[in-house]
Order: sequence, then structure tokens, then C-alpha cells
Amino acid sequence: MSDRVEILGIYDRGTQAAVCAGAILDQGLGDVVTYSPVPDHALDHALGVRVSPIRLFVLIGGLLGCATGFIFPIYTVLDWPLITGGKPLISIPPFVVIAFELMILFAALGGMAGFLLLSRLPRVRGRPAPDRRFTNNMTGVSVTCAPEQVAEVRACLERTGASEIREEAA
Amino acid sequence: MKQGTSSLIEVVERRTFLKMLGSTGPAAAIAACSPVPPEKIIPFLIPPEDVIPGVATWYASVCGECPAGCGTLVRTREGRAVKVEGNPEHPVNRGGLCIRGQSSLQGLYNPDRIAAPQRRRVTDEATGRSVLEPVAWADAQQTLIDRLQTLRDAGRGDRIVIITPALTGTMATLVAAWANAVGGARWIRYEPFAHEPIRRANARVFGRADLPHYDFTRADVLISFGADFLETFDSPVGYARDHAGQRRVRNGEKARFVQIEPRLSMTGASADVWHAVRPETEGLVAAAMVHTIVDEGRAQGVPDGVIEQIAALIDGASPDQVAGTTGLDADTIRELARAFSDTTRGPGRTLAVGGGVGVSGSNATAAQVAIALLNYVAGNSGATVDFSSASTLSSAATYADMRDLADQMRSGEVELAIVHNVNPVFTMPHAADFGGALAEVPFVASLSSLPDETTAQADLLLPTHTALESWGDSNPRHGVLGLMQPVMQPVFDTQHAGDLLLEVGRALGDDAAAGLPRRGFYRFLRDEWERMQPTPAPGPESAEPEAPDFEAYWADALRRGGTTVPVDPVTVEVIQELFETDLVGDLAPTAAGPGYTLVAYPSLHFFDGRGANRPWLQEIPEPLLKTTWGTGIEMTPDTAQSIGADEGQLVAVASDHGQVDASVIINPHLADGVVAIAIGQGHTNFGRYATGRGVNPIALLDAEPETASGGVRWAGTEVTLTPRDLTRPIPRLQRTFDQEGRGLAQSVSLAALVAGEVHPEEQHFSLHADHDHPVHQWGMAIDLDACNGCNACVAACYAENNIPVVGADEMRRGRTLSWLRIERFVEPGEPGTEHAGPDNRFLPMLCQHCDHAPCETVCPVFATYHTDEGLNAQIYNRCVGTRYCSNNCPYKVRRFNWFTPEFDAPLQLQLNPDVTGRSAGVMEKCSFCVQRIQDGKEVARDENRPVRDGDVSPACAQSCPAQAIVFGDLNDPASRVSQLSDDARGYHVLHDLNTRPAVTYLKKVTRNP
Amino acid sequence: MSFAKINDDILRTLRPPGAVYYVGLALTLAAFAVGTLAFLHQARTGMGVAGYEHPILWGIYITNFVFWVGIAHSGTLISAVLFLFRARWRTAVARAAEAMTVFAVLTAALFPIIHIGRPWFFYWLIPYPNERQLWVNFRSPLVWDLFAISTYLTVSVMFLYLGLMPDIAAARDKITDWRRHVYRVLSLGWLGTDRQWRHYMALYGFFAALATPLVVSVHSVVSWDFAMSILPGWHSTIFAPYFVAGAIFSGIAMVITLLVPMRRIFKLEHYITVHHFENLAKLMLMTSLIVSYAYAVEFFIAWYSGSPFEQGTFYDRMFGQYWAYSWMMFTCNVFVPLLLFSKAIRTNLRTLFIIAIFVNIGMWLERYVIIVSSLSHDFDPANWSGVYSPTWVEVAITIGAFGLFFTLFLLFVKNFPAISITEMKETMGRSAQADPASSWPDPV
Repeated sequence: MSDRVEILGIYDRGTQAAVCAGAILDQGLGDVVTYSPVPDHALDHALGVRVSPIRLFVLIGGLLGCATGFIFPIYTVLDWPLITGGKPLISIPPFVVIAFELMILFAALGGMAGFLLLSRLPRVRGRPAPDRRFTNNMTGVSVTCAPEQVAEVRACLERTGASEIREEAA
Repeated sequence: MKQGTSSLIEVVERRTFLKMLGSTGPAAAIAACSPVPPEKIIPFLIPPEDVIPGVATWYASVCGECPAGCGTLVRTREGRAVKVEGNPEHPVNRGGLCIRGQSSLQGLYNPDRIAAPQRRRVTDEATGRSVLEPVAWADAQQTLIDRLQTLRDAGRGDRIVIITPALTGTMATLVAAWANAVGGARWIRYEPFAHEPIRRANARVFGRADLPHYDFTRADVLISFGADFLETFDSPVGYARDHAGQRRVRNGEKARFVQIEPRLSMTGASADVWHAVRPETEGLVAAAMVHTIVDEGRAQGVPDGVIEQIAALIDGASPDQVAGTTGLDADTIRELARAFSDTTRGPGRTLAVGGGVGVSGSNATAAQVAIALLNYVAGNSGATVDFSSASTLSSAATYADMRDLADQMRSGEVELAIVHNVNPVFTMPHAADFGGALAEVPFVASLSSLPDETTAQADLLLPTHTALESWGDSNPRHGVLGLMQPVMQPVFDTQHAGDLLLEVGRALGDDAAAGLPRRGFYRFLRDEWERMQPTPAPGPESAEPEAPDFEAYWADALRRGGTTVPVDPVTVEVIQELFETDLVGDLAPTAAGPGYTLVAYPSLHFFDGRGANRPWLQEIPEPLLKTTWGTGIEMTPDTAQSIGADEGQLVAVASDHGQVDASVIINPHLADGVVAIAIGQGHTNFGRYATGRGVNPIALLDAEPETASGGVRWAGTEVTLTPRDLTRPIPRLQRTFDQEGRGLAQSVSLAALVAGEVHPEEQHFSLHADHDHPVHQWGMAIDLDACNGCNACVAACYAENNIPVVGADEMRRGRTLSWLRIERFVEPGEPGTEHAGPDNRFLPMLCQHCDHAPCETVCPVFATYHTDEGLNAQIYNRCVGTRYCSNNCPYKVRRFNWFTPEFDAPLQLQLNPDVTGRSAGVMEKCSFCVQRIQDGKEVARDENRPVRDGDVSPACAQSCPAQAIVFGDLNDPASRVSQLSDDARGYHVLHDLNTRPAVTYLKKVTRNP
Repeated sequence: MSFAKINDDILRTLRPPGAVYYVGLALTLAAFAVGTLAFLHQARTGMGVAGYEHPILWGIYITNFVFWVGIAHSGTLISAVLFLFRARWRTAVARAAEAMTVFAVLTAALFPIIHIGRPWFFYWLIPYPNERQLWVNFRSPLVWDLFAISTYLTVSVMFLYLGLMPDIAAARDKITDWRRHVYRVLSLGWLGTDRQWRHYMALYGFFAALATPLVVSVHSVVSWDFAMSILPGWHSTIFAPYFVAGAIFSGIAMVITLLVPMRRIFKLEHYITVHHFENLAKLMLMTSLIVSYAYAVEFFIAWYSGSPFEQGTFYDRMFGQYWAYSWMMFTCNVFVPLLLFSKAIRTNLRTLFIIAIFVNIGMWLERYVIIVSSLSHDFDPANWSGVYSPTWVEVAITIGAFGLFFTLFLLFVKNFPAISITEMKETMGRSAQADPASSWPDPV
């Protein structure tokens, strides 16, 4: 909806931002995105903690790696059977090492991939952060709402002590 | 004769027969020896029919490295000789070949060989400075012809001298005729080790100045007075074979072997007992033994009356009287004498050999007389001491003759000297200054293959073929005739010495030519053999003897590498003149002075020095001290301490006759007050490998010959030692000879073996099922009781597997590339017993081809893995060089290529085309000669039959003179190796690591309780 | 302390450096160049230019390999293990340690290549379908190494990068010179939205959880290069824990070696306090005790085994031709660290720094002794060699490795926050915050 408005409130304390964000969500005034220099539990609570699905990526990666670590060596020794040291071709113990390392590797890669995917990274073009200070010391609450609710939102931002309020078209 | 016939009629092994077929008789052989300058060796435009690319051709010939005259089989590939092996049919060596014989290839391909004729031109009249310049063959020959002509026309032909080795056979006939034809030239057959004292002693005792043939095969008790018959003495390969055969344990008995010498030799190292005695006192020990035998009436086969005379002769040499002088206590001597004259065995079952440099002091002849007597009273003379097939060295010149010659040269009585393949300037005591004498001779021509100290003085160099390029024959001892045929085109622009002499001789005019064979040397050789050919017995149907077919006889001789002729048995008796001598008086050693006594001993590797320019002989560690690329002065730790010197420190060694600087080599196995230096190093002009290396003891020796025999006094020179504050350590490949009870080289006492008390069954445990070997499982058995450490196998491995030499500096870091090494361990003897001496063990160590090889699992790139034939394969081009395999090899038999190997041209012509060359950065190791295994399998396949035992034998096993190494298929229960692997003496090195080696060692059998 | 101040203080370290920095950089680069030339000479001429003496076929290069892998361990330990243990103090040093880890692994990874006889074929150790139709031997500990090291490198790089991401964003928004473009790219457009933070925290936790077993496995695998062989002095079940402890021991020593000067130069006294160093010292003391115990057990087992080979090897290690190295090693790793029991010493940065240097040397010697002395004195006395003496080539290459490591570290500290801004804001910025509760979620 092109006519929706984005209002940005800038706080120097994460806690106030959290209060604000919580209030706005409770009243259903609009969608809230927060910007903060550090991970902030208060904000999380305000926005409702949801468990990150990254664990799935990690799990799948791990399982995949473990399987590869066993299947690949076994395939290679059967592909060209060469006796070494009088050991059986498929000698599991040494392959456990490979499997373990690959499990860790794939799990980590899976996690990283999941992270980039879920957090929409990398943002090559997309707009920069609405304010440079968010990576420094300020916390920001960006509310996207219908024009008729602008007033309420502004009121809420002021009430919770936003040190600065900006409004721009979404 | 005995050995001769036996070896000729014995069934020809199939494989041997094939080798023989390779040599296709005269026609091809002539092509191979045409005296035209050598053209490019391969490729052929029109290949001779006996050269099939990729297929080896074998020629039977005779080794020219020493007077022993061993028969050889030379493998050639595409017209290049690539390997020399012993001829299994030759009566002298019967298959084995020593390290020097193996290395003859490096004489053939030696980069320093004289490539073309050279003539000396004076560049500066004032200073007399001159240079040798290349010259055309025609001019070179003409120069010699002119010189000879002038002397001959002036009737001064007797002022011509030709010095050659102890030539035998046709070449000898030729030189004799030639010397005559040029006007009565003097011909001297010079051998540095001509065993003058033995010959002289036998003349004194039996009236025959012979070097007899010793029959070790019948000697139940063998006492050797310094004779290194496994190294250089007379015919080492043949003797090693006989000795090893006789020493095998048979029905609970093992022949006894006692060595008495001032320095532990390699030969002494394999003796049951080694007694260190002061130099020059061995004779007294022998005399004392005779004394005991006569005294106790144990003499056998001695006519009545003679006993008394002998008793009188050796009166005053009783064990008690000599004990002090010899350093050997009386009871030991008596015990030896009794064992030696064991009447229960009957006469002629024991043998005393005196020789080498151990018995070459100022009283050498007397000592040899005593030894001859010892044999005589034990009934050995004519039995185990065989005069019928005496060595032809018997007629070689003595050192005294050479000394007289030197004097004549100085007094200008010699106007022209021709030197052929001898190096007296180096091998004669430098005090005799043969070099100086030679300089007095107006014109010296050298007919030699290699440049040495003597050719350096020549005015004319006429390079000759080496034995491997020449026609010829050899007659090392009565009854044995070896036939030498060229195996390849001459490598350089050289000529056959015989043809050269003939051409020169004929050019002197018709009267001279009249006295010479009309045609070339090859023709002359054939004629000689035709003359010798025995007329066959009359056929059954006709009383007429059928005309002998010479071509068949000749082809057969070529195939076999020679023939044997019957010899009449010789019996000997002591002559009365003997009893007019004062034996005991002559036996008295020269009074020991304040200094140390020097023993200069002939080296297994270098003989009289002629081997020093062979890189293999320099690189392969010396058998006892494991030194490489140099020699030094050996002294006991006590001596070193008393003069304040350490291993590797330079010591100024001075005698009345000369001085040298030598590095100290600690060797505990010397008699008190004795220092030893190996002969053969310290060359000043012998090519890149030898020059300036090691030290030459001959520079210290007395010029005076031993009075009685005219031989060199190798032992007994008095020297003083002054340490210098310089250190020049000789690289030694093994730093400790103590196996610290780790049971690597094991032994079992004869008693225990007979009683059946053997090592408990080795236990093997494994988590996994063994992998199977469907067709073959190659394995090896090595008998430590037979191995005498002679290094022949090592040289064979170098030749077969293209192993490069790395040089002295790399050796210091232990970076040899040898796939096979002989480890030596010394167990302390039991003090108080007769076994107080060291107990030496030689352990040939090569890749064990373990079934559970630790090296295989750790290689990340499968560069080494196990074949289903039980081989531990190394794939060079997979190797990236992590070197983990070597770290994990408990035997440390893997070798790493630190650099890309280099072969000085034309040594690369020797490389075996069947074996891959290795480059820098890859690991290599013994392959059980997989190429020879392949060869054996292919032959079997071509004949549509399974591989038989004996079809395959690796280079090391083939070359072993003592036949200590046996190779074969462990899957075949009937194979020799299978049976030996189950032998009671069998064990595996470090078996408790459960590596399951394919190499089984058979414990050494000691007499120690 | 306010967020803004932390931000400024730490980002100040990225300001254009002074002459001293450039001199240092020049020195380390020179060292690296020398090493490179030496290696090229070796590859051209052959391994023979190194001082190897049969049967000592592994020498300084493998020593360096193990040494650097060991160094690499503290980073992960501090940032992952201590993170799981909630050791707050880690914050100050974690970033430097992580960076050190990555550079150490990079350096270590070069040595197997330098060491092998045909370095131009090093890639044959990688299992990929090739024209030789040959795979690698997965039974070989060297292949395990390849997998372990490459995994470790990948994971620690990702771990470092993940931690850096918000800080790079901070730099992006603060730095004005040309580097801001680089930061823009590297920050991947980080915004710091609630969604990003949530996933970020989750992943950080998982990385910590994965890196912890990884760090243990990696040095175990390295130790198995030796333990899996049958060589007396190598073939030992204690090697894995022994090497892991040793790795952490040497790693922490290296962290101290790097942080003490860095703290001084960048004036970060407020952030990296003596308290932090004392904790590192305690950790170092503990690992030192573990290592000492391992030494003792090795010798005991050698004696108790009754095997002449084991006994011979360890006797030789104490009193053989390498006795001097062994005793120096004991001094540095066992005796000197005992001083850390004294609070005065471990809280005095000067003494602590000196002890850390000792430990670095000692741990290098430990690997040298284990590798060289064991190889020089194995089963067959006929092989026992003389003293292995490295040549200039090996020395140059070793120096070159240090050159590479310090070059990378110097470049890092001048271009990236050497202390985690984000975590600093959280841990120290609390005072400026109303809510003191930790924002860190439960990992996993």
C-alpha cells in the first residue's frame, strides 16, 4: 500500500525503544522494525521472542556431513581397491575421523547459509540504515502504519521518550 | 679337475641355458668386437640379429678385475652391457661374483677412461714441462714402432721392457712371442699381491714354488693365519662358496674355523674364534702347533724319520716358549693343535691357510714354512692343500724383480718401457721410488684403459679395451680355462692390446713378423684353442677317431664361458734341504720398537687400489667399519686415548720410509700396539672418484723386500703417531655395532640347535582376516650363518636397480640411496672361554615386504601399497614425498631422493632399462627386483607352464658367493624358500611388531655354549 | 561507559598508523620475503638443501606445523569455550585471539606443502576426481590432517567474520576515508535490525558449540600423525589430550605475547585490564600442569612397558644427543610456569610477558624433541643417526613463517576492530543502560 507511512523514532536507550515497540504492537498501530547497536533482550521481549530456525540448517548440515564422511571414503576404496597395511578395504575407524570433521564443517556452513538467508544478507543494493548512529549508540524504532494512525504513533514515540522523530513515505 | 668336470656335467638349469643361448657364438661376437672406432651404440639402422630391442642378451665371459679369473655372464641391452653376474657353470666361482667384479661395469663406463691415443709434447724445453696431446691412432702407433725399430736395429732389443699383469692363456703366449720378436725384450708379469712367501715356502718344504689351491670343502677344521680368503686372497669368490658350503650344519656337526691375525678381517669376522696375535708371530703359533702335534704323536701320514727331523727343526718352539711372544697362551695353542690333528677323522680333513698381509712381515717365508709343515703333519699336503691345480700366480714376478728393474731403469739399462694395465708407481712401496726410476726411462708407452699414477708418466698413451670389450682367455689355475668375449662395442676409441702389439710387432719387419701370429688376436685365440681341443675318444663303431668339429667345440666353449682340462694329481713330500734351515731362528719377529706396528691390508673394495675409481666401491660401506669414500688409520680406543686423538682427527703417521696424514678410525679389534690402514686409497692421479681420497699406507712401507721370498713386507713397519689439531672424519654409515639386546641379528648355539632347543613359535595376532595371495607370495630367506658381509649383494643391487651414488658429503648425513645394506653387530664374547673374541653378526637389511606393512597405511596418496603377490610396491610417480612411510618403517629401509640423481657420462649407459629412474622428492626402496620377477613370469608364460622354483632370483640372491640368500614363492610348499622359512633357525626381525615380514632370517649358529 | 565512547575508543585504533607501525610492518614483510626465497630455492634444488639426516626425515617444518596449529587453538578456546562457560572476561581478548587463530592456521597450513618432497604436487592429497583416477588413502593420518585443518580454518574464519560483521558496520558508519567502501561491502549491508540480531545470536551460539569439539578434534588429529605410527616416542595413547593441552598452553602464551604490546600501543588499558591477563595466566598455569603431567606419564609408561625400544628412546631423550633440547623444554614448560602460582608475578605484565615468551620457546622445543629425538633413535641401532642440524634454508623458512603471521596480524589490527565493539558495549556499556540483564541468549 503506497500510502503507508514510516515513522522512525530514535532512542538513546534500548529500554525505552522496547517499551515503545511493545506499546505499538499491542495497540496494533503498525509494523515495527527496530535497529540497535547491540542485541537487546528488552527489544526481543517487546517484539515477542521467536526461536531462530537456524538450528534446522545446522542439524541438516551436520547430518549431511556425517553421511558424506562415511559414504565418500567407502566409495573411493571400492572404486580402486588397494590393500594397505593388511587392513580391510572398508576400515571404519579411520573414516570416523573424516565423518566427524565433515559433520562439523557442513553444520557450520549450513548455519552460515541459514543466517544469511534468514537475515536477508547480503543486502547488496537495498537502502542503508535509516540512521548511521544505530551502529554506534542509538536504538531506533521504525513503525510502518496507515496515515490515519500517524498521530497515535507519534504520540507513543514521544511518550516513550524518543529523542528524535522522523517521518517519511514508505 | 674335480670341480671342473662336476660343474660341467651337472644338469644345466633352464634359466642358465636361456642365458647361454643369448650369446650366439663367434659370428655375432666378432661384430661386437670389431676394432673399428665405436659408432653410436643405439639405435641400430640394421640391428644385428642377436639384438632384439627390449630383450636382454647374455654373454659368457671372464672377469678381469683380479687374477682369480671368475666366470661371468654379462647382460646386455640394446648393445650396452648393463649387468655382470657370476657364471653358474664356471668352476672358479660357480655363480657368485664379488663386489669388485660387479663393479667392472664402472671400469668399462668410467668417465675418466683414456678416450683416445695421446702423445707427450714438450712445451717448454727449459723447464722440461710437457703435455699429453690427442693424436691419431696411426701416428701413435708409428711413434712406438719407430722407437722399437731403432732399438731393435741397434740390437738393443733387450733394453726394452714390457710390464703386464700376470697374464695367462693366449695373451701370455702372444706377449712372450712379441717380446722375442722385438729383439728379446724383457717381459715382467707384475702382481702386487703375488704371494711370494707362500711360493718360496713351498719351494723350501716341498721343492715346488707354487701357490696351491686350497680345498675348503673337505676342511672340518680350518685355521687361517691372516688369510683373507673371503676378501682378496687368491680366489675369494670360489673360496667363499666352498667355505660356506663346508660350514653348513650337517648331521649335528659344523666345521670349525679359527682365524689368527693382528687385525680382525672380514674373513676373521665369520670365524668361530678370532685370536689377535702380534704381527710376525703367526708363524710361531703354527710352529708351536706342529711342536704339539709331533710331541703328542698325532702326526698323520708322515714317513718315519721325517718326524724326528721335523721335531728337531722346530725344537725351541714349544707352546710354552712361544706363548709370551705371540700373546696367545700355551693351552690355547695346544688345544688348537689337537683339534687340528684329530686322528679320529683321519689325515687330510683339516686345513691351515697362511696368507694375506697377516703373514707378510720380515719373517713371512719362515711363517709360511711353519704353516706348510703344519698342513704336512696333519696329512693335508696334497689333500686339502692341492698342488695339482695350483694358481698360475705361481709364475708371477716378485716384488724384488720389480725393485731390480727399478735399479736398472735408474742406471739407464732400460731404454723403452711398455706398461700394460699395471700401476707399479702406486702399488710398489714408495720408498722404492719406481716413479723416479720410470722417469729415467727415455720412452714409456702405456697400454692401459684408465689413467693412473703410472700412465701419468708415460710419453705415449695407447688406450686399450677393458676385459668386457676384449677377446681373450684366462687360466687362473691349472685345469681351468676361461674364455673371454667382448660383450659390446668399445665405448671409447680404444684397441685390443693384443692386436695393438701384433700390428706394432709386424711393422718392425718381416723377420719380426715371422715370429708372430699371422692374423689378428681373435684368429690367434681361435687357433690356440683349436690346438688345445682334445681329440674325442674313438667312436664305438669305428676305431678311427672322428675329426674333431672345432666350430662346435668353440661355440660350446663360448656358451659356457670356458672349459676345463684334466690335471694330474700331485703328491708332495718334504725335501731334505728344509732341515738345513734354522726355522725357529727365522721365525723370530723383529724386535718391537717404541712405536706402533703398522698393518697395511688389502681392501675388499679396492684390492691393490685398482677399484678406487669405481663410485660403487667408494660409496658402499666397508664391511667391518662401515666407512665410505675414504680410508683412515685404524686404532684401538686405548691407542687413540694414549696418543690423545678422537675418531676423525687427523694424525701424522710417520715411518722411517715416509709420512702420511690419516684420519683416526676407532676399531677395537686390533692386537695391542697395532694400527692398520687399508691399501687402495690415497691416489694422486686416478680419476675424479679416487684422486686425493683416503690415505695410502704403501707410502710408509720399507723398500727392502722380505729377504727370503722377495715379497713386499706389508706388515710390521714401525710407525709413530702425532695427532694434529685438524678433524677430517670419514663418513661412517653405522655408528654403533651394539644391538643393545634388541635381538635383530640372532644366533643359536650349535648345542642348542642339535638339542632342538629353538626359538618358540612366533605368535601372530590380528583383528582382521589376512588378505590372500591368490597366485604367488614372494618371499626371501637369508641365512645369517652363511652371510660373511662381503657386500656383493649390495653392488648387485646398485647395478640392477640404477641406484645412484650420492658422494661423501651426502653420506655424512646418511643419505645413501642403497636399497640393501649389511648391518654389522658385535656381541661381546665370553671372557675366559676360547670365545673371548667378538661374536660378529652380519645382517643384510632390505625391505621386508611386510604383509602388514606400517609404511603403507600412512601414505596419503597410495604411493606404496601391497600387491596380491605379497610385494610392497612403491609407485614413484604417485609419491609426493611426505616421507611418513620411512618414519613408520621399523627397519628404515626406505630411501629418499634428496636431489635429482646424476650419472657422470658415460656411466648412464650402464642403467638398466627395465628399472624406472627416480627423480628428486620421491621415496624409493627394494622391490624384490620386481622386473626380474616379471621376466621370470613371462618366460614361464611363453613356455605355457607355471613359474618354477628358481625361475626368479633377485640380483642380491643371484650374486651371493655364499648363497646366503634364497628367494621364491611361499605359496609353493616345495620351494626352497618355503622350507627355509619353516627352518628351526628361522625368525623375523622385530616380529613382535606384527609386521609379518616376507623375509625370514636364519639364525647364525655359534659354538658358544 | 557510554556506547559512543566505546565506539570511538575502539574505532580510533583504525586511524592511519604512525611510523613505528610501518617500520614493524616492513620488518615482518622482509622476514616473509626471506622465507619465500628460501622455499623457492629448496623447491628448485631439492629437499637436500635442508639438514635432514637419515633416518630423521621429519624436522623443523613439521615442528613448525604443529607449533602453529597449537597457537591456533587458544583463539577458538577463548571465543568459543569460554563463551559457553560464560566467562565474561573473555570479551576483551576474544577478537584478537580469533584473528590470531585464523592467521596461525594459515601459517601452519603452509608447512605441509613446504615439507613435502614434491610441493608442486601437494594437491594430490585432496580427494578430487582426477586424470590419475586415484583417490586418497583415507587411512592416512595426513589425510585426516587435511580434513581437520581445512575444516578448522573454514570454521574459524566464519566465526571471526560473524563476530566482526556488526563491528564492520559500525566502522562503515564511522570511518570516512576510502576504507568505508570496503567496510560497506564486508558488512554485507548489516543493519542491526531485531531480526538480524536474533539469527546472529543463534548462529553465534551454534558456532561456539561446534567449534568446541572441533578444537579438541583438530589437535587430536595432529597428535595422531605421531601416535598412529609405530615409532617409540610417538606411538602413545596419551598423545591426543597431551597435545590438546599443549596447544592451548602455547596458544594462550601467544595471546599474551600479542596482547601486552597491543594494549600498550593502542592505549586499551580500560578495556584489556590486568584482571583479564590474570585469568589468562591462570589458564596457562593449568594447562602447563596438564602438560607436565603428560611428560611424567610418558616416562613412567616407557619404564613400565618394559619394552627396550620405548625405554631406549626415552633414556636417549633425557641423556642422549638431544638432552639439551629436552631439558630446555622441561625448564620452559614445567618449571618456569610454576612462578604463576604467585599472584604478584602473574599480575605483573612484564613478568607475565617474559614467562609467555618462555612458554612459546618451550612448546616449540617440545615438538622438536618429540619429532627429532624419537626419529634419531628408533628400533634398529644400525640406523641411529648423528645430530640433525638445520641449515640456513630451514631457519629462513621458519623466520619467514613468523614474518607472515605478524604481517597478517599487523594488517588486521589496523583495519579491523581488535576488540569486539558490540560485546564491549554490552559488557561495559551496562552502566549506561537501565536494564542490566544480559542480552545474550542461551546458545543452542
